[in-house]
Amino acid sequence: MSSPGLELVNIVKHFGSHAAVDGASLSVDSGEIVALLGPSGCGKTTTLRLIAGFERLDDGRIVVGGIDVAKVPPFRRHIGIVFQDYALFPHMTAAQNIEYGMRQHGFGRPEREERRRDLLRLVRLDGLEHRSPAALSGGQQQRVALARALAISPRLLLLDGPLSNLDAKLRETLRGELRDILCSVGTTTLIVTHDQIEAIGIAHRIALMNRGRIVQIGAPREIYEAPTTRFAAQFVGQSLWFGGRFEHSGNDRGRFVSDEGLLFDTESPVTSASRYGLSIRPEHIHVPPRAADANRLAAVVERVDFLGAELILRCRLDQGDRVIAIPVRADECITIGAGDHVDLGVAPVHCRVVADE
Amino acid sequence: MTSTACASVAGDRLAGFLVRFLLIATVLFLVIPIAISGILSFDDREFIGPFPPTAFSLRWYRSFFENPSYISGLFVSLRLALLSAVISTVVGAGAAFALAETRWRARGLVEILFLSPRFIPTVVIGFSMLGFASAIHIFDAFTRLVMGHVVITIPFTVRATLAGLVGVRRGLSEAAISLGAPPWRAFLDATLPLARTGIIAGALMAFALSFDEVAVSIFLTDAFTQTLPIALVAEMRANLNLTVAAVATVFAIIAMLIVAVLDRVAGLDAIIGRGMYRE
Repeated sequence: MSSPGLELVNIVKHFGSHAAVDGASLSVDSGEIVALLGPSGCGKTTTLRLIAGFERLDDGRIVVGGIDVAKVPPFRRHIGIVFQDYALFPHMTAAQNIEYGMRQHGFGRPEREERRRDLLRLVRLDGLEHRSPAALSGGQQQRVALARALAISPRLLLLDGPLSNLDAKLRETLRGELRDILCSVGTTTLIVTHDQIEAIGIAHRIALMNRGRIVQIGAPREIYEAPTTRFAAQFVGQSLWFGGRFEHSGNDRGRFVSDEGLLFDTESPVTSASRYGLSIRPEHIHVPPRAADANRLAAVVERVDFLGAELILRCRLDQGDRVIAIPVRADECITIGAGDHVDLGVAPVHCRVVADE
Repeated sequence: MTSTACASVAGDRLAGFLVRFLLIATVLFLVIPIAISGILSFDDREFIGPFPPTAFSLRWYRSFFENPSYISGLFVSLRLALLSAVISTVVGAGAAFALAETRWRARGLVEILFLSPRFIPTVVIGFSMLGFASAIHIFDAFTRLVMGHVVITIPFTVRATLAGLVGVRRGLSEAAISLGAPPWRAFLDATLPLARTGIIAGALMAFALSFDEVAVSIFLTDAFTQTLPIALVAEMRANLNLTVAAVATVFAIIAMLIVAVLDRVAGLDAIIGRGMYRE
């Protein structure tokens, strides 16, 4: 692979005494789509604005397509941005919006019109070029914004919560469409979002951000199945969390003793930390237990919620005072009802000991 | 159930009737005096007689156009209003852009400073400006007038531009910059066209305000440079006749023309109501 499409090296940005971005590092391959995922206030939007050049970097380096952009003003960076509210020019038509960047870069008229037509076809808006943004739906506006950003053949594409302004149903269909468009264009892309479904559904890799730092990078599945920190375990997907301590027993195995005195056979943590916790995905808990489920928990079913293909069992653990919600297939647990005593089973491989920080 | 429904329907009707009544009363209250002075301006009688006039003529308009102090006053006022409006719009709009853009903490304070001439009695502004002008050795009445009128109209141009900018998202100029436009280009392409409505509204308001201003002008005019309103006040003191009604009608027509232009250019709704591109 040639030089990465985007490289962040220990970037830092302070607002007053508050460090919004506190030494974040990330490398995005050329042509790759990476989602910067984190809760609001984690520094992801500041990171986007630093890359775009709207904020001045306090420390670190930003390299776009092999070029350190520290001294490049934002209008010479060739970075396409799709803003969260799209920021379409309301006094221009869709076509004028798309051609604006090409005009700034000195494209001739025939070239502009040809490229505009290609882009409108790409985002499937042919025939709407003379509409003003106000006359377009939210999804159409988003695609005009995407076409406008792509029109300058950017070295890097930044998307700020691209689907967050759309209603749930539209989000679903546009997610797939957006992924297809981005893949076919092949531009290095960074998506900034707090929505894990948006990140998982579009990106090749996810960079998880928390408190101004990037805490874990990996394929969506990897982050879901092998979180390395409490934050990763709880921010992406659902997770049962037990505080406690881990005891090695050699051979990459060990025992986790939770604060309420529950014992779990587990594998060793992948990263070393001063404190550990235990994370279990609810779907890995089996009722009734299967053969490989060495860990058993006694519980009482408090309520059964019927969701069609699934049931949600709300179980209170006998030890400690906590209620957990376990999804099970409706046809497997047909006889279970409220008040029943059940055994919950979970395999050691699904009990993940991760850093508690 | 039905009786309360009936009562509430009756209540709605009563409220609707009251609202309509108030609306009509207000319109009449605003329009009748102007209409009366308009009718009186065509009165043929020598003296100010009982309403309505018994015969009509254009004599008061003739006397208006034949009176050199009115005519020179009219031209002074037009020149003054035009110049003050231009200066006030350039300065005011510039200040508003800077204020809207800045993240500076003293922003609120500076904004109040720009708006303060509205809260200071115009008599005080007129007198202060006279003292200030002579302190810096400006004795030309027209220059003094321009200075005074710029001060009193600036709050309106600042306000109107700021109001026009409320609907313009900051993201627009950033979008233009990301697409390759240098900041000045982004301002011209993405900010200015959207603030245009507010700027024009402010300019017209400044013109109208300056054109019929009395209190500040009284201090700043001299025997040779009089604005139309000042000439009118002076004439009224000397010999009261219906020329005043004729002039008042001319004023009203100019004001209506300005409103018509405002409506044509930007849509009154956009100016007094919401910003043009606000969502």
